[in-house]
Amino acid sequence: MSEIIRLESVSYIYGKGTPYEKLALDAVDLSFEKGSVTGIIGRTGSGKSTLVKLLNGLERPAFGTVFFEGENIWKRPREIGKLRFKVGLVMQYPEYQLFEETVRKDIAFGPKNMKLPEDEIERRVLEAAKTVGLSEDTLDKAPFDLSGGRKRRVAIAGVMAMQPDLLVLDEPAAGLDPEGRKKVFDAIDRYRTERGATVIIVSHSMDDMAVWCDRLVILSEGRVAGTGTAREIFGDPGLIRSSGLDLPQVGVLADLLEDRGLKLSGTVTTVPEAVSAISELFLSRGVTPTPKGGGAG
Amino acid sequence: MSDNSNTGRDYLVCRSLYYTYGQDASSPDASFALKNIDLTIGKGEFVAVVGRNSSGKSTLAKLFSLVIYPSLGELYIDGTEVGPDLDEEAALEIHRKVGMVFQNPDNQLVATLVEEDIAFGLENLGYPSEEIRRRVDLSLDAVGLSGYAGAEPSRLSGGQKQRVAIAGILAMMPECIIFDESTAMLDPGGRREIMKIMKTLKSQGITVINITHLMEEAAEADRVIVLDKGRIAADGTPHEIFSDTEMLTRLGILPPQCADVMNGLREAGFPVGAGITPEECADQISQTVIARG
Amino acid sequence: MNRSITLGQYYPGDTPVHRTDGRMKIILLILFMVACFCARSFSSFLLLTAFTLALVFVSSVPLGLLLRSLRMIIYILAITFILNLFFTSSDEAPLVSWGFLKIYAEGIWKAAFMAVRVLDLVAGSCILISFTSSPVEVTHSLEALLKPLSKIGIPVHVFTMMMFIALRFIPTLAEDADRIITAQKSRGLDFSSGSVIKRLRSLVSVLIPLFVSSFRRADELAVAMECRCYHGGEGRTSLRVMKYRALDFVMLAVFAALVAGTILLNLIEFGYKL
Repeated sequence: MSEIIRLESVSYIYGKGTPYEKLALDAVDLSFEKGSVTGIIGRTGSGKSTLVKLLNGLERPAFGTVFFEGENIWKRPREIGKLRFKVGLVMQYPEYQLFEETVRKDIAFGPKNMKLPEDEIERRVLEAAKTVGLSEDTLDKAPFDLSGGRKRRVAIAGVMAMQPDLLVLDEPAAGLDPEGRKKVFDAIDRYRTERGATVIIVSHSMDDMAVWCDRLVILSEGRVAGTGTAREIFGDPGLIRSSGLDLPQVGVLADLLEDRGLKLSGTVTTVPEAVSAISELFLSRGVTPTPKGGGAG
Repeated sequence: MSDNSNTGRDYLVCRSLYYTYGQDASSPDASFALKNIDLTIGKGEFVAVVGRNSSGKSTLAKLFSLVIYPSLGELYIDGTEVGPDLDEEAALEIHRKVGMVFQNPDNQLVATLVEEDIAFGLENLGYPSEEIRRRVDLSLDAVGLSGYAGAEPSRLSGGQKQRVAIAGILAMMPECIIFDESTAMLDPGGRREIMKIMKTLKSQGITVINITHLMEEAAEADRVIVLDKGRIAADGTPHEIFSDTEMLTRLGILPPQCADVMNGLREAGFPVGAGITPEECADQISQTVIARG
Repeated sequence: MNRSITLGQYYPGDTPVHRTDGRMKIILLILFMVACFCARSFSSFLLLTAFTLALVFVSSVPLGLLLRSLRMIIYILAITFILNLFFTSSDEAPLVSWGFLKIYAEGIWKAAFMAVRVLDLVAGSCILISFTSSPVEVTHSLEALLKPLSKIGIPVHVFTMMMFIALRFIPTLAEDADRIITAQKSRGLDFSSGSVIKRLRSLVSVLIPLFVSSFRRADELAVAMECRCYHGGEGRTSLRVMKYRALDFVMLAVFAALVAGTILLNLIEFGYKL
């Protein structure tokens, strides 16, 4: 049980001194275990994006402290740049940050800023490209010629090449088709297992979060409204609704079944879970499966 | 199908339509973004067009918005044949009748104030100021944004911006609205708002085409067209499309979660019917229990 | 979100100055400039300054806010003041003289008048235009005023449409720039250290994505505009009905009186001729 990053009563004020001043985060206490995958969910304006920028020192809290590996990240403000190599941030629609002539050069941008030796940079570029599933002949193409999904993965590789211990991603799969989404999440998962890294994902997609995260944090109006496993969080429809969120579709289905007097055992958050819970229900009510080929009603 | 009645008549018609982004459609090795498309969409239909990236979805949208013209074959919009020699008058009339809502809300709003943006189309068409004012107010009301007339679009949420874009089209009294991945950049709340408007439009007799890769959205349409590598791979009701597991896998489509659950149960041999929305599925499951229990 | 197209200093309000038609305000501004350049006599400067102060008062823009926005021109004023002070020569005996530097009474007057003139001019135009009209209103007014020029082949509509779109996209582009800078900083971009070449290179990593995204936006916007029946300025009408009201003519009369008054005071005052 060791934590990699911890926020201690962190508050952040947006647009200080302007008529649009707003308390974006209000005394947030959070900590993230090494090697875990945490999903941060919350509606637009709940403070998710601000939280993300506080983690790698792009923004400084108005009050409270952020500890990385036990040390206050703002202890030496001049060295905050170094933190960004350890806490890699992939922003929303990261493909818009690509600028080099080739994919290879673009992925190398981060490692170059770290002033690593040439051969190490080259090694990391290849490794990151492999992690996100880009073939080697893609490396010499211009990033602007690639499809949307691949551009996205190039951008993610650009952050992974810095080999951060903590990888933070803001809506990594937004706007992609199902295939593209899967490739992005597979890449994140591969990075985590290969490097033993910690991952924090911010997303609106409850379906994805239920599948990929082992812990969820709900933000609502700048405060932590709840934390727990997907089962715990989605097993509390009241909490989900009061935070302005949606249950995954299977959660809605379970709710509707309960209304009809058919309570499933346990909380379902993914399709396989729902299939097995409903099968169980059928069996307990005397509905038996007919062998395959017997046709369905 | 095609008779004189107002709804139900053929509205968008493609006949053996091909499109290539290359120059020469007649060359034997031309690569086509759309291939041999035969498609008829009737007036008042609510159609979802799905398919993975680069399946030809956005090319279809570009054809309907007259950005490009068919390389081969024919395209008719409300009876007018569309091609490079379409005169300006006719093109304007098609643009008036067929509205487009694009993906990025920031790249389709023209004006600095909401009401002026909604007025933009009518101003282009040369309507008198009083009529523009009347229609702007009506359209704002229709999308639930009355009170926002004087707001700056840059201060609105994504969903609100898309609603402004829809209002700008409604003001021109369209017959058909095409949503080109219009909810892709929105949060779930924004998505729900837009889906609700699509259904209202449909109920008012407006033809609605929703190009999307969100299957939960496609499930809400009356008809789903699946594009794959530039061809129409499937065309049917959401039930027909989403219960064909084998085809879905082949085409790289992830059905809505609930449809997936029902498919899984059927796979396991349980006698359940098809369902797509949570309500339908819950009904199906409880019927099965009652019938056998 | 702190994004606004109200560039500069629009100060919302409901005063006669705010309510005056935008086109009329441009005409008033021209009259005000004429008055500023006509003023030559002490009394005419007095009138001009009093008028400017009255304008500030009527528009209810806080004096402090106005002075803050005038800060920039103080330097220019100081330079013109000193130049006028030392480089005006006269037949009379100098008041002070150090070597080749001589200050004459006339020099002091001239320098003071010039300073007051510039100050009044800038303050007046700020109140008339930037504090009380939104950029959108100014663009609409310019289009309406310049419309007759399109009859002789000047593409007024093209210019104003460009202004509108520029205004519309300033907040969007600012946001883009902000997002790209944040993204590159997350990849270790450092603007604040290194050689000039290195810093220029840093700039490239921001500018290229910014251009790419701007072109993409422009491209999409052009399609969206065509889909909404845009086909140039021909036959275009406007949601806005611009109508001159009684207030506009009263304002016109007041400003015309200012010009007349300035000229009259010049004529009356001894030693000054038009």
